[in-house]
Amino acid sequence: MKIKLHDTAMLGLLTAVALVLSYIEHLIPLSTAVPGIKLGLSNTVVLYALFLAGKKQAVLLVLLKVFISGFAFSGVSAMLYSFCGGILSILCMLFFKRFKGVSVIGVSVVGAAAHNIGQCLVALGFIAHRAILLYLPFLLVSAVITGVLTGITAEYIFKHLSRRNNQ
Amino acid sequence: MPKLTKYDALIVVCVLLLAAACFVFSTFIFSDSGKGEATVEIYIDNSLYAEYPLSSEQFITLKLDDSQKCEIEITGGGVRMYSSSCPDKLCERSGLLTVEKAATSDLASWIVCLPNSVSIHLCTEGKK
Repeated sequence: MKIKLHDTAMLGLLTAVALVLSYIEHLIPLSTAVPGIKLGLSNTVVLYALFLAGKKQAVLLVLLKVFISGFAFSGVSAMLYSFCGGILSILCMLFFKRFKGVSVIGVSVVGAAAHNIGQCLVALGFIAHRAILLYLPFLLVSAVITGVLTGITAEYIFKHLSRRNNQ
Repeated sequence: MPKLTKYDALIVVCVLLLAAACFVFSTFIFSDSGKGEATVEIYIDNSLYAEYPLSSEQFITLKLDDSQKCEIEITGGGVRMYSSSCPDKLCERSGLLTVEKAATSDLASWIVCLPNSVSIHLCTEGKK
């Protein structure tokens, strides 16, 4: 019972941090230059959940983040995009995390790329035009860059948090 | 300092390769779709009224009910509503509809005159 309470509190905390980060991300006008490109700051929280809290919490965190941030900031139609992107992203990250040689950075890149692929799939469903495919390469390249950056960020966070926990 | 492992680098390379493959694939398809013969379809009241190849130089005058009329011009480069008797002239203002323009989205391949119920669709090959 005690563990469950701890998990719930942790999930709430992580969700709050993820939401704040995705709100901050809305304020950075990166996506007005090329729509769809994001820093993926909140992915650091998902990575944290994935590596230090557990699979179930990570999946729940993604779902909560998609629904709350969808209703609060971006609207229901944009929610569908982030839902598919988020689900594909977390599934791919879960899959790649199983390999021993893949570090946080690799998982982060996989997550970012899968997020963009998922969103493009939704866009294909809506618009059904090949132009979407032409758009994907730019998103993927940006996903590699932002994925590496958030991966490095997450690794630093892990290091400092685990040091705190040990004290 | 966190560093990229061998497998991380492999993942990065794979994603970049996927991006390159996507790019090559989509540009290849695009260049393919541009080659086919484009046709202009004219609809009146939602039914197909006439069809012309885009390459044919045509000036079509549609005489509609209530002494309304639409004039459509087809040149090799595109199709446009030359003039229409409708009040708002939105169809005239949509300008010349070219193949490149029509390829951007399904919506962009139409010129519509709603008051007169006339619509022009530029149909590019391989896309139905």
